[in-house]
Amino acid sequence: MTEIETLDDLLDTAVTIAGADTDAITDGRSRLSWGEYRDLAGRIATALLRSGVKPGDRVGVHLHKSVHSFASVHGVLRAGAVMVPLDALAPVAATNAVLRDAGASALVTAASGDVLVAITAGTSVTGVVTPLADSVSGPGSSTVGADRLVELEPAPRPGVDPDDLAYLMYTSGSTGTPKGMAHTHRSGLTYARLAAETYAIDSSDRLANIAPLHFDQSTFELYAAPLVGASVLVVPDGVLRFPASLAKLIADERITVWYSVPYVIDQMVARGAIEDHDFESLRWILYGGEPFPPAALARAMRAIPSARVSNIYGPAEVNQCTVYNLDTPPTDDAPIPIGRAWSGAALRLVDETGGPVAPGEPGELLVSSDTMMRGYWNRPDLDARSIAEEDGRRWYRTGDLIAERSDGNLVFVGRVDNQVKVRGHRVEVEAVEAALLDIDGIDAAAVLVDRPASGDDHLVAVVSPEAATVDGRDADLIRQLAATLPRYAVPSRVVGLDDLPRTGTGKVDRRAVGRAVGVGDDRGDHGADR
Amino acid sequence: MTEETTGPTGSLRPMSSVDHRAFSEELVAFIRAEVAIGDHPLEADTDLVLTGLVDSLGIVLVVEWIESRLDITIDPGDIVIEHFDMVASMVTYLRARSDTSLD
Repeated sequence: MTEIETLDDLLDTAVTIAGADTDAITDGRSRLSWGEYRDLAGRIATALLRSGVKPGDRVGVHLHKSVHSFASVHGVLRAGAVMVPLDALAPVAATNAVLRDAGASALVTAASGDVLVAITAGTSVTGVVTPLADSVSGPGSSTVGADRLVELEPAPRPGVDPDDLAYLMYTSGSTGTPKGMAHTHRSGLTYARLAAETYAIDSSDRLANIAPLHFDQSTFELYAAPLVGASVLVVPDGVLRFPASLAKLIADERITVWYSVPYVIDQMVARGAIEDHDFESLRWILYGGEPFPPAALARAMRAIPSARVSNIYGPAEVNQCTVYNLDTPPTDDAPIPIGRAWSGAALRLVDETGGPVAPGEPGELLVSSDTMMRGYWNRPDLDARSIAEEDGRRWYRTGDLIAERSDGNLVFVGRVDNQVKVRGHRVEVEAVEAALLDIDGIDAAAVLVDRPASGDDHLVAVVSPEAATVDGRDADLIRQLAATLPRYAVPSRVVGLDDLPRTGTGKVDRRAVGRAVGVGDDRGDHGADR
Repeated sequence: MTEETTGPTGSLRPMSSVDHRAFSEELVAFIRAEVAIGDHPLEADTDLVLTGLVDSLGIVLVVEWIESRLDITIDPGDIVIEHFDMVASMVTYLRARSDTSLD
């Protein structure tokens, strides 16, 4: 078999390996064979091409998690276009901002009517495909729906190059302006190959997709699974909120490999009544996005003894760069290391001058690997700040402070900036504070992360004056923030103080604010590991 | 009105009957005021998760409120999407339990 070089070829590869009639993907409601999955993606590609999409065009995928959302990703790639995953739960304004920034020319979505008009207002979107609804005809508002998709022939290979762009993965920047990480077919496929090799995944495996499409963990199931013909369970958004529903689905589907942020595993173990189910099939639990509190990890490993555990670290800009495996539960409270360099990744720890740090001292981690993005989409300013060219290699500055232990394992120490992680999502606290300051009546704001022992990490906004808030939560303020910020960046609580503590230079002192309102890190793990 | 009923453990305890329509409205009002994120309209048959109105923490808050309001304990294994995806589902589930006072 010829070795594939681009992501658009993955579903053909899977059909060859696993067989067209073999189960490929389910979301608990729909179930497709590899042949059906490939053909659905191919027909979505044809619909996009007929709507005018050209190779290299950006196409948004705006669907709740389902077999159709996965097929849409592969449909965009089969059209030779650049896939832009969108958060189906994000406010309209945030979705619109990403489509504008990407210059998207088409959209695969479940939205209709006023919502569709609002999402695409002022964008370049002209083609709309709705695989879960029938077509709509009308001037300026025509869509290609499920009724017309079934009549189309699947599109042939688009003839893209390995170094062409494959997808843009967006995250919110510190100013609130979204920034897109531009990955090529080569970076995505290299990651998929390494992931499949590292965990010895083959066509007998069943992977659980926990992460949404706009979260980089989903690239594991999107690309590594078809590469080796492993089948995928796409866990629907709704099920993820119910640990007992999640546990039943994972057990019923006899999942063998799980990858998520620690919070989802912890909640399933703590609240999922997992003793009612058989998890014997589960052989790998992969986690990343943030640290796993050792006590919670030990509880999970004792509850699911069949599974080995792997801590995966790596910003979305490089997909993955270190790994640390555990075969037995941790026995003390020491933070779990992020491990050692992943296959093919070069790592350096540097001080503020760019020179190497002394052994054991923390330094900013720089990464160079073939899984690294090409750069940020249309943001040469960010590229200049984040990517260094040295020794004939491109190095990504992670912004993470890392130290090397005497045993050679790396440990996460902190951040060089104010980025925090909440359940694996990056949040730039300055962006949330800026959104608070845009609200009438708020003069000053600090955003903190509360990390209680229960594991229910959440953001807390502290605003001044106290009169700007009502009874400690202030649903109205939270609603105003939810209209512009992604859900994971919306604080769960609002606290009012008449005077926020300041540093000597007059800036809001977030640590002092945290002490004043009793918000902090009860687990001592900082939560910024990814 | 006071009546006696048999709970799942077989114990007898006095309960005040609660009209399920009034309870449904009360629960919608609680979610709207204390739990909901965003400005999506909320009715008893609104999908709380797919609209983004309620996240995992919100579900915990809703369960705690129901347990307190009806003086019951909800088993973690019962907190599933079929019972809690919308207020109407919660009311159906609660009415089917023998230890609640929803009429």
